[in-house]
Amino acid sequence: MNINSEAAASEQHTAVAAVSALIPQPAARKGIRSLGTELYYLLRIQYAEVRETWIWVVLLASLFPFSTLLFMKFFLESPSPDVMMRIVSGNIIFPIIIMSINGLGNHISWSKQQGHFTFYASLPISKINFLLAFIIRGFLMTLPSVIIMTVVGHFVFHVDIHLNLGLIPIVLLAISGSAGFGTLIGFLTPNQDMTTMITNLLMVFLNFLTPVMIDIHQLPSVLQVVSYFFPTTYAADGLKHLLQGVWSSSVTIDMLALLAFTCLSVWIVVKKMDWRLE
Amino acid sequence: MRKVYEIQNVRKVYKKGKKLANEDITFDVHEGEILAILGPNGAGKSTLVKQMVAQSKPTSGQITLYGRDVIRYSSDVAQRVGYYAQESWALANLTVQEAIFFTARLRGINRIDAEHLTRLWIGKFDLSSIADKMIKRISGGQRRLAGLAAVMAGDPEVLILDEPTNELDPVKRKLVWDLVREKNREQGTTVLLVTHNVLEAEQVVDRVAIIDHGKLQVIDSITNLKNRVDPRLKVEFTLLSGYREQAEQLLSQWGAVETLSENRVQMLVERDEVSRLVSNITEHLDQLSCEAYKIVPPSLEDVYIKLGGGNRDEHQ
Repeated sequence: MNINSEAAASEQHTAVAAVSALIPQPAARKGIRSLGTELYYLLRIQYAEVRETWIWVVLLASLFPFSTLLFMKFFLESPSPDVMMRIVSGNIIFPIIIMSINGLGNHISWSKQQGHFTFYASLPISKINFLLAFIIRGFLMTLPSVIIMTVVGHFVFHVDIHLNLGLIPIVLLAISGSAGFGTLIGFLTPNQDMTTMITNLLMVFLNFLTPVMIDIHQLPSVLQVVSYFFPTTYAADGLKHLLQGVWSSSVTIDMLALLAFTCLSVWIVVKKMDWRLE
Repeated sequence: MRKVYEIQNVRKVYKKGKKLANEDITFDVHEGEILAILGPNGAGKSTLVKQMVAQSKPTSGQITLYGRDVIRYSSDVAQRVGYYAQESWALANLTVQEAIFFTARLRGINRIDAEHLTRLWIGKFDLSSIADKMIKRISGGQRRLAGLAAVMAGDPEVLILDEPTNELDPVKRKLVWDLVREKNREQGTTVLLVTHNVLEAEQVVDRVAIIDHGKLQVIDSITNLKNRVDPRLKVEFTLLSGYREQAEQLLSQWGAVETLSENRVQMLVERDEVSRLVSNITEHLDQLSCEAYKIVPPSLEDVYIKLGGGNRDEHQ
């Protein structure tokens, strides 16, 4: 869009008069097209926030799992193929936890604390679009790290990764389920300090005390039960099987569980929270 | 006149009942008027405004916009009210023109009209030279103007502007007031201003509401408020250095004299006594050693200070 201020002066009155008549009536139900336009501009705002820094964010999000991957390579002398696959799939989930849960939760909490929601709340935008913009941001910021870790895992552990179509829905659902979870944390926590504390604790807990990098049977029974309340458990299990080229019934259950996590988090935010209110 | 907002017995309590922000506030905002909400820092002005834009829920009482409860129909508020807040702006990573254009689009205006309005308000706010700069890389004052341009470009029926002229130089402040007045005059936009800038607001507003300690102290037209507080005119004298006491002796024969500074004194006179006083002054100009004198009506600032607005600021 090229703005010419001189030309603007002559058309001031006509433009204002013309546009006044086009302002939508209050509480008018929006069509799919206008909802799409709304989401597009909300995403453009989200993109603007990361357009200068996204490469660094992606690299930093990959660094932690990359270090863990190397550590395990040096630490484990001769892991079985199943353990190797568990480590690789676990380290693919790692950036999902960092970006979708930790990063997104903190970003939402920070925006809330900075008063950015005041601007969004003053606009006639739909709550679902407002939420989707955050989830899609989390998704797009996570995807590059997931791809990087898949490639790195393949070369470090020389695991035979079976690329198949099933990987697409499991990665999509793993990220959206976790992003929904991160969004929920960001909205529900009262301030950013609390969010940082919760997400940091959660990052360590999910990576090391739930079946992300180890098998569920290696955990005490209490942790096994607790694990089922987190989307990353299903994401790691489904991903491990699909990277081996196996789409069993447990993979379908994992996908359904991740879908349920996504829907549940969206439902809680949309139905139970009035984001316009402080 | 049609009522835009009806605020009825609004009470707002924070921190589990420990902090009373608003207490039993009742008033209406009429269509097409410019109403200023004045009050010292911490008086509860912004809290009230947040409730009016449905971003905070009253503890008790009700606020309606065009007859509909703002909390229940919060999307109506977002649709019809343009709110310029004091909080940092969410669009800091967009360029100035992107921010204005995106805001207009998110208010439901079609692309061509949004482009028109973006050009229009960039021109009006004199932002052409920084239109392509990111908002986070421009000055605080320019950011404020860009924010105001975005609110105006949304073309809402009601404008609520919270401290719109903070951080602005006198020329830009005048520009903002002129544009607010123009929008009100040409499009009939109802405007609610929250401001500390009493002197400048006086040039723009129709009515004034003064809030202090969370309570509405008074709401009325500027003329009525001035008459209510003190209808007398002020006669201010600037005297030659060293002649103040001599002048005061003479002036005290015609009324009460108040010393303002070493060379300045003031008298308050009823309107019907002014001509007699002026005759006396002209006759005794040399004896008064008077360099200059002026007759001024009471200002909105006088009203503001008298009705409680100045109390807390003085202590802060």
